Amino acid sequence: MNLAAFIGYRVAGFPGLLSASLGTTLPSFFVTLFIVALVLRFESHPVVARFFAGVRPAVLALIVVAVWNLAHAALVDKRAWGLAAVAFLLVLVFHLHPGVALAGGVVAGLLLFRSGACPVEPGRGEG
Amino acid sequence: MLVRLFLVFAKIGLFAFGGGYAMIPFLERELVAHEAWLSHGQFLDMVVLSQVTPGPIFTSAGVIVGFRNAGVPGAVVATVAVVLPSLAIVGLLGWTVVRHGHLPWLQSVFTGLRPVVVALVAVAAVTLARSSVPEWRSAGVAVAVGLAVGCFRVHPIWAILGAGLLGIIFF
Repeated sequence: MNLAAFIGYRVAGFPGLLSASLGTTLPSFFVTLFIVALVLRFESHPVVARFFAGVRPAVLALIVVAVWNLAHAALVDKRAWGLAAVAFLLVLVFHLHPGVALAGGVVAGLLLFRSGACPVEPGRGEG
Repeated sequence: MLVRLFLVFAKIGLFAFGGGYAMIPFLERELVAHEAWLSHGQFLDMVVLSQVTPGPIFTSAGVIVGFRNAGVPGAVVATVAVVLPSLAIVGLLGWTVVRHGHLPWLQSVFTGLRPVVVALVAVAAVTLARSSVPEWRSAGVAVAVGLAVGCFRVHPIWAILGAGLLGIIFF
């Protein structure tokens, strides 16, 4: 959605931004609303309940696969591993607000990963 | 109610970095812990629903929570609220990038955000694991789906439909 908004902006400025976002949001909004209304209506039906019981562990598996794939792409060096480990512990164990963790990531990025501020491997880190 | 929906979802939209699964701990904190709009079980089902409906997880969350609490107007208000902040941010960034060309500091910001996003998705997995795998049949489904999607590159939507079918037959 953000990608569509950005492309819309590049092509036609703010009107482009608005129409691109509406174009990507509206169809999925109506489809989602339809499915949600349908599911809430038949929530207690045994077949729907069993479908959900099967899908719940599947979604967990999808998230674990996503962690695996993202870790490969994002944890490129020791600093990134350290940052991820600290954020994980703070949010899970110490109940830090996830928004604060993201803000911390912005600050850490500016401090730790600034080009030239730290020794960087060749071909990496130069924006 | 509508005003409360708007405020909470605008806050969610403001932090909608990384989209997808990284939003789960954030949504859980806001919708279950703070506002008590959903129970843990309903939250889990919301995550499930967001996987079988189009669009990113936070717009699905907007539709689901808004609709549950205030019908169609609630769904519209929550969705608009969740989309507005990221529109503003993208507009601002787009404007800066187009005007000033490439931004080296933006690269640093993203390099710092990525590990945090990984950590948040991992937190989501740990939090959901407690309620989504209550018994060995569920664990079997989780392992099967993990292998199918992770090793055999099955498309997630087929894995979800397959798991739902397994649920209807065996649960």
